[in-house]
Amino acid sequence: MTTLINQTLEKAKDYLLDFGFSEDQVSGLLLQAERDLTKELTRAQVVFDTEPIDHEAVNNVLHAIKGLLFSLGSREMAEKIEALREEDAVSQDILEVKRLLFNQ
Amino acid sequence: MEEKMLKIIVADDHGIVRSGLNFLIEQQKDMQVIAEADSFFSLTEVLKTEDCDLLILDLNLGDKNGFQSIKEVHKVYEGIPILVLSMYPEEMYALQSIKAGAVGYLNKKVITEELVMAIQTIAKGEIYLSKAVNDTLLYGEELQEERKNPSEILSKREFEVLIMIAKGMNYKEIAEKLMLSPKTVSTYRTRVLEKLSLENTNQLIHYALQNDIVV
Repeated sequence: MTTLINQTLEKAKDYLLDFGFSEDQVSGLLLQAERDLTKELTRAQVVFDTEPIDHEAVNNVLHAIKGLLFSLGSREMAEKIEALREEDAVSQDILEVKRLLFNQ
Repeated sequence: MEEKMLKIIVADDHGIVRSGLNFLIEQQKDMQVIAEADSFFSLTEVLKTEDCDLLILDLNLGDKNGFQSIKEVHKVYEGIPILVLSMYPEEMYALQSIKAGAVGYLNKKVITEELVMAIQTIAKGEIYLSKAVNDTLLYGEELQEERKNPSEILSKREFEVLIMIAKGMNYKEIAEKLMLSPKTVSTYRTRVLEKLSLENTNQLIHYALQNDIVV
C-alpha cells in the first residue's frame, strides 16, 4: 500500500504543479491525497478480504480509488482499475486488483 | 458599482477534486464556492438551504446514476444551471448530459484551462461545450452517436445482460446462466441503464425492442 501511495504522490506533485496550482496549494492537496488514498486502500483491503465478496462494496471502493488516481495524474493506473471494475466475475479479478494496488 | 459575486455549489465525491475546484474558483474575484456536497444525497440537502447561481456536478457521484442526478436536480431546481464534470471524454457523455438538463460539460483533463471560461459562458445564459463537442455537433455526428449500436457502447457482459433482461429473464436466471451472483447482475443492469440514459427496466425493454436487440 505504501509503495502505491508514494508512487502516486510523487507523480501527483508534478502533475498538480503542471496543472497550475501553487506550491502551497499543491502541499495541501498532497496531504489530502495521502489521507484519502490511505483511507480508501485500507477500506479496499477489508473489502477484498471479506467472504463472501460484497460486489457492491468492491465496486464502490474501486470507484473511489479510480477517481483519486485519475485526479492525481495516475491516469494509466486509474484506467486499469476502471477496466477491472467493468469486468464481471469480480472474485477472480480481486487477485489482479490486489496485485495492482498492493503489489501482492 | 459592486460586482455581483457568482455563487457556486460543487458536488463531487472526491475531496481532492472539491479542494482543487475551490482553489481554482477562489482565484476569481467574482466567483465563490458557497457549499460543497460529497454525494447526491448531501447535494439534495444543500440545495434545500443554499441559493446558488451555478452547480458544478460530477457525472458519477457514486450514489446516483449520473444522468439521473442531472434530471432530478433540473426537475426540482430548473433555474440552476448545471455544469457537468467528468473524467470521461466529451464525445461519450456531453450530449446526453445536455439532453438531461445540463448546460455545460467539462472533461476533468482540461479543467484548469477551461473551468473559468465555462463558468463565465454559463453565467451569460449560454451553453458551454468544448471545441471538440461543438465540432461534432457542427458535422451532425451526434445523430450518428445516437444511432450507435448499443454493443459499441456497452461491454460484452453488459450487452448480454441487456439482452437477457429484455427477454424477460430475472436476476436469478441471468446469474445462473452467466455464472455470476444476482447482485453482480443487478450492478450490470445499473451500468446499462446509466450508459443508455434509461431509468428503469421497462424503458430498457422498450429500448431493446426499438433497436432490434430482441424480437
